[in-house]
Amino acid sequence: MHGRVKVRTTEQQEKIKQLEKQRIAFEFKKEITLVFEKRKNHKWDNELLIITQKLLIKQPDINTLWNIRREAFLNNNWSSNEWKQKLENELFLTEISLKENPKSYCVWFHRTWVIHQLSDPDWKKELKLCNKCLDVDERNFHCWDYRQFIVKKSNLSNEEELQFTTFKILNNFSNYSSWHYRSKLLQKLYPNCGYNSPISDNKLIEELDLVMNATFTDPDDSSSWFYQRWLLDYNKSSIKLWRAILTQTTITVAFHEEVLLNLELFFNNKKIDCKWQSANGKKFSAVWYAIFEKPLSTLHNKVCLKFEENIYKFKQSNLFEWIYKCEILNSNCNNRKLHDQIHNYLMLSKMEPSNKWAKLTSVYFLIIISNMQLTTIYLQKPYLTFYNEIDFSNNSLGYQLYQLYILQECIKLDLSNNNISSLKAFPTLHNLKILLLSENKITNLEEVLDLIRRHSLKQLDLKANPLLNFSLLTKEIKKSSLYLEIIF
Amino acid sequence: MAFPMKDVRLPETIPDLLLQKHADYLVSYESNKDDYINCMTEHLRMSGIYWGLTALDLMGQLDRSNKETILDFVKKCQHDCGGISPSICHDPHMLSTLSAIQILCIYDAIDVIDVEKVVIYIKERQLPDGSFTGDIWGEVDARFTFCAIASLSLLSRLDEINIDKAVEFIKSCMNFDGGFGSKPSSESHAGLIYCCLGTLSIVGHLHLVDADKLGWWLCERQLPSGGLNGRPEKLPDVCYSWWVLSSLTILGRFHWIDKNQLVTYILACQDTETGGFSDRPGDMADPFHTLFGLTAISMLGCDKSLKEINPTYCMPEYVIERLGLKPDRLDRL
Ligand SMILES: [Zn+2]
Repeated sequence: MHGRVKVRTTEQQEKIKQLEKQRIAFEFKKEITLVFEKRKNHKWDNELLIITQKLLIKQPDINTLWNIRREAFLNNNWSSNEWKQKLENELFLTEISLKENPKSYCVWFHRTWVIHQLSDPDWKKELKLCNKCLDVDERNFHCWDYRQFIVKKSNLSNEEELQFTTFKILNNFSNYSSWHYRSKLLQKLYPNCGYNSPISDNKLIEELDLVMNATFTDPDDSSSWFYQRWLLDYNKSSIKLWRAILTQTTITVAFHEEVLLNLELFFNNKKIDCKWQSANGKKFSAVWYAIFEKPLSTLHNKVCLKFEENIYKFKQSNLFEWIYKCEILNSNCNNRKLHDQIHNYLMLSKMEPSNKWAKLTSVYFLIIISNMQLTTIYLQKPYLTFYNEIDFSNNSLGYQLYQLYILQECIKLDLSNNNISSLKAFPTLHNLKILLLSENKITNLEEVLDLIRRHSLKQLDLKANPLLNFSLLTKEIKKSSLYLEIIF
Repeated sequence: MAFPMKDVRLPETIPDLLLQKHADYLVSYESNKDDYINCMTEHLRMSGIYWGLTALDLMGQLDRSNKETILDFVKKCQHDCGGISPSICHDPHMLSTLSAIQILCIYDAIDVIDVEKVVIYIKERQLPDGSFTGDIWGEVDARFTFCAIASLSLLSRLDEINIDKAVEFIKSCMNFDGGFGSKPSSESHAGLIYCCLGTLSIVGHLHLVDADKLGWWLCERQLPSGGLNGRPEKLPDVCYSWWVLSSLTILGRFHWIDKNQLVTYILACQDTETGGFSDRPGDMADPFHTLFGLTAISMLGCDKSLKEINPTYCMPEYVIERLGLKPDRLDRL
């Protein structure tokens, strides 16, 4: 179905083609009917093997025919010699079929089945087949998968495989499949025990050099750029808990990523009952909090949180407040090496001004080297969770309101001039008292009322919104919340 | 030195959307008794019916399909083991099982098959590591996980399998670029990404995905012609319009591609003579690409007469609503 170019033919040619097709179809139908009949009668004989072979060479994608051949192996009492010989024939057949369709799932699967049956397969031959196949199409992921199967089954060394990918990449940098395989092998061969990169520091520098070679040779090819991003981007911290604050009345906990509730709070090793609530109302949340029914009295104790088998100890910050802070050291393996890299990429973006990848990478290196000292509003992460006052005015957060759920400690929030047309996605922020929403496009009265009902606001600024009916709003608000000051 | 980018050149004139032609094409394809095509595609028959039906339904022409014959055929394809085969005499498989269930859901006729039995068949395909095999022979692939999860959710029987383990397997298929391959350590591929995101969207575990990284990789699939490819440095293809677009929609990052350019590319892949879409301009049309051309157009929202498509199930939205299903989606970023 892929890549079949439509060709125009004369009527005469078309007629001949049709006749030929009819003949093939007639034969095909006759033969496949015979195969199904034999199978029904449990006749897995030589004739069956011959016919299915003939059919599969023409159309290797008929899964059921391969099934029938495998049944023949399981239902015949062949001598071990015959068994082996017949399996060899299957290898031969799959090889011919792959020439017909090198991307046929069922042919590759059949070959793995055959290898499983053989007592000592010729691994070298299998690897050679892979090489040959990858010479024809180096992006054939079926073949790459099969190669990995062979390597694993035969205990071939990962080092040699890594060399193979180097060879392939140096031969053609635009080989995403090789880069992909390389990412898997390196993680096995050079695992990193730190947090900042996917592989060990020394190897990382070597890889960055290889990538530089690739990106300079062909800056328009995306393969190596993606690979480079992986080398630089990786930031898998094993410490998931980022920060937590405990007061007499509440505890708020923020994670580096969205997690399932699995938290326990301890005072002097005694578990405290908490009604944990997800700040975004979902099963997975980056921020969790609990409000204590009775204010805690004994805050002078040892406080810790247990999350996923890890214990996080709190420090007392004042008489009524305990905090936990995660300290991750950002050790960038080799700063001088990174400076060389950035120098080169800045040069490349000058040489190739229309190349977006070079620009992007230059900026990316800058951020890494400055150790993330650039100010970024990063709403997806919980890093703003513990601010009491936040000014987001003059942004465009209209579509991102739901992400504000992390602001569970926020008391005053300024969202004026943010292109907000609906408050539907506005999360419930349980500490919010002052909310500034002036200069937006809010029109829905019910949404405003709902927001008010969900919070205990003291002040709400709705200036310069095309709100429908102020008097109705005031009336409604008076009914529900007496202490709210509304600014129109 | 720079190598020329892999892409295609679009024709000078881009045809309008030829809905009636496409409907006629699908109807005639169904009723065509061309022996040669029938023989060579018999092993894809069940999925073929699903492609045609879904496309016809989107165009509001479901009534042109031969409902009784199709239901009878689906019934005949269910085997004693519960599994459903792509055609009579062929063996049951997860791919054809999902297609059959999708067909029955569109017709609102699930009772045509023995539901208990098909649930058992699907359940038996799960391995201890959480993955699913395609049939009794043991081929493992994330596509089959999607078939299992989608099928069971359409039957409201998700609780029959170990979902946590299934999710763990999907997670193990994740790669350096944030994408997914067909099994652990297979290269990322837009079709497989759709299957894995679809699975995670049904069971509500999309938080496992690095949505920015994967969204970026997906939107980089768009080429200067406007078309989308399925992997880096590959040619564009209409079917990837669907796999990539539905994935981006599930991730809430649909707006990261250039909509107008993609529409132009898809329209250029219509066969103005026979009707139907092909993978690239000037190639032979087929029902597979016809469905994915239309689903993409529906998703892009540029023809109001097309019904809405559900990005997770690749079925008309009204059918998914009728079944009361609410697959998860990340909020728009
Ligand atoms: Zn395609």
